[in-house]
This record gives sequence, C-alpha cells and structure tokens, in this order.
Amino acid sequence: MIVPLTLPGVLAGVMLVLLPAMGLFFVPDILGGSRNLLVGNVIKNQFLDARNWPFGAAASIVLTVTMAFLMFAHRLSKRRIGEEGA
Amino acid sequence: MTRWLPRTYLTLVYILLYVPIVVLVVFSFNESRTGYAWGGLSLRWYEALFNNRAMVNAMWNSLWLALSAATVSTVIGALTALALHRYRFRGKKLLNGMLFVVMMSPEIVLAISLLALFLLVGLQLGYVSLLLAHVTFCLPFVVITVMARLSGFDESLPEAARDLGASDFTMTRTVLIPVIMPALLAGWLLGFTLSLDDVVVSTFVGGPSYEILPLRIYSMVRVGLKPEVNALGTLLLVFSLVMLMLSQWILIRSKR
Repeated sequence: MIVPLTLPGVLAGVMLVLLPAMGLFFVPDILGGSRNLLVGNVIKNQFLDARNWPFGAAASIVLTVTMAFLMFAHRLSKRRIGEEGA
Repeated sequence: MTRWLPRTYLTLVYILLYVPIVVLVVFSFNESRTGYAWGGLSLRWYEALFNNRAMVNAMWNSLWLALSAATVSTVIGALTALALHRYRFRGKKLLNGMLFVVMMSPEIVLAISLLALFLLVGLQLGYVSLLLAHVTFCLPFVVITVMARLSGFDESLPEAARDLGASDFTMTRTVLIPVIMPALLAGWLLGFTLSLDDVVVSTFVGGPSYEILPLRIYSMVRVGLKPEVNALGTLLLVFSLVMLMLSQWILIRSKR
C-alpha cells in the first residue's frame, strides 16, 4: 500500500540524485583517489588535459543520451504507476 | 521493536548528514596543523585565511559573480515566466520543455558545450564567460519558481486594476510585482547559491583572469587538506545559514 503510493516520489528522488552524480568530477577527484574514474572525470580529462575534444564530446553525448533515456523511462513508469493507482 | 527501529534509523541518517559538518567546524578552531589531532582552541586559521590575498580576492570575485548572475537571471527569468504564463504562441511547449532539459541535463555537458561555444565565438574566458554560463544554468530555476507563483495568480486582479484606470506600468508596479515578489526573492536566492558553489561549469568556462572561490578551494584541497579550508567552510556555512533564515523570514512575513 505504502510502497506503490510513494513509488513515483521514490523514482523522482532516484532521478534527482542520479542525474547530477553522473556528471560530477570533483567529488571522485578529491575523495576517490586517482584510481576511481567516473564518466565526469573522463570527460573533463579529455577536454582540459588531453585536449582530445572529439573523444570528450562523444563521451558527453553518450552521457546525454543515457540521461534522456532514463528520463523517458521515468516518464513512462510514472504514467503506468499513475494508471494503476487510479 | 517497532518504536526504536525508525528512531535509530532516523538518528543514523542525521548523524551521517551532520557529523562531517561538525568535524569541519570543530577543526576550523584547531590549533595544530595536522587535521587529525586536537591541539587546543585557536583562531589562527581564520587569521591565515584573511591574510591570504588570493583567497580574499577569490571570495570577492565569487560574491560579485553570484550577485550579478542571480540578478540577471532573475530579471530574464521573471520576464520569461510572465511570457510563458500569459501568452499563447507557437513553440511555447517546446520552450517550456527546453527549460527542463537545461535543468536536468548533466552539468558537465552544459559546461563543455558552453566552452566550445565561447571558444568558437572567440570570447575571452573570464568574468563575462562565467556570468553568461551561470545565468544559463540559473535561469530555469528562476522561471519555474516564478511560474509556480503565477499559476496561483488571480487574473482578475490586473483586469480590476485596468478598470480602475491604471496604466500597464502602474498595474505592473502596484499589482504584479508585489504578488510575484516572494518568488522573485526565492529565485534570486536560489540562483545566488547555485552560482556561489558551482564547480563543474566554472572549471570549464572560468579563466585565470577571474579566480573564484570554489575553484580556489578545489585546487587547494587537491594537494592536501589545509586547515584554512576548514575555516572558510565554517564561514560559508554560517553565511548560508543566515541567508536561509533570511529567506524563510521573508516568506513567512509575505504570507501574513
């Protein structure tokens, strides 16, 4: 009863955390040491250090598409949950 | 069983949230240089902080940037919200959706696209590029805040004002602005905070000519934890608490 009713909120919360966490590079930089690379680090390194812009751009496009897909999935799931709840 | 379980859980969550902050505040008053041992109470790191010219300079730069970015994005954002609320035009839905895309897309993608754009048009990286970038990512937040306020706006109020002979300007000044004022303030504060602690976008579009606080802290922390950073963190914490209390106070007062 409680879980289905709060599921849209839970999903929204997951999205809200996931979206910024994918792009952050300074938190793993400071806390994660040098061995833990995230997508954000890869993009930043390609752009600012390696100067390999096309590769960095490709990585960021992959990130964007992933985000778009997740947002789309979130919308779909919200609609489905809404129908079941009604 | 059923009573203490939720309580323990909640306590753990709050401990996890607040212990790092408490540690930061406590160690900012620590006399000793190493971050792990307590060496007595002292204000030396605050002194060191204010004697650090580059740091103070970065602080002023950051404040000025946040002030200007918040103000510009509030003006543009309020006008955008008004247009989206009041008029029907082609591409309105698209425009509305695009705001959410800017808000939801990963910051780093926005950052590199802005960097590529600035280099393409040959803009010198510095204050102007930072301002443009910060206005860009603050804008959707202002627009959404103001639109939420406008959605509860009684449309008969401006009509009544016009009936009573008010010009557009008078109506805006005496009816519209007072009604959306809390949203304007909230949006401005939101923009101010977002701009003040932004690292991702500023790393890409910032230049050496205009150093701002988050980047300064970032480069300091990367080579090892300095106690000055604790002092700075404590000051920023107090500052944001005061801002938060101020905004809450304004909100409560406006509701009366």
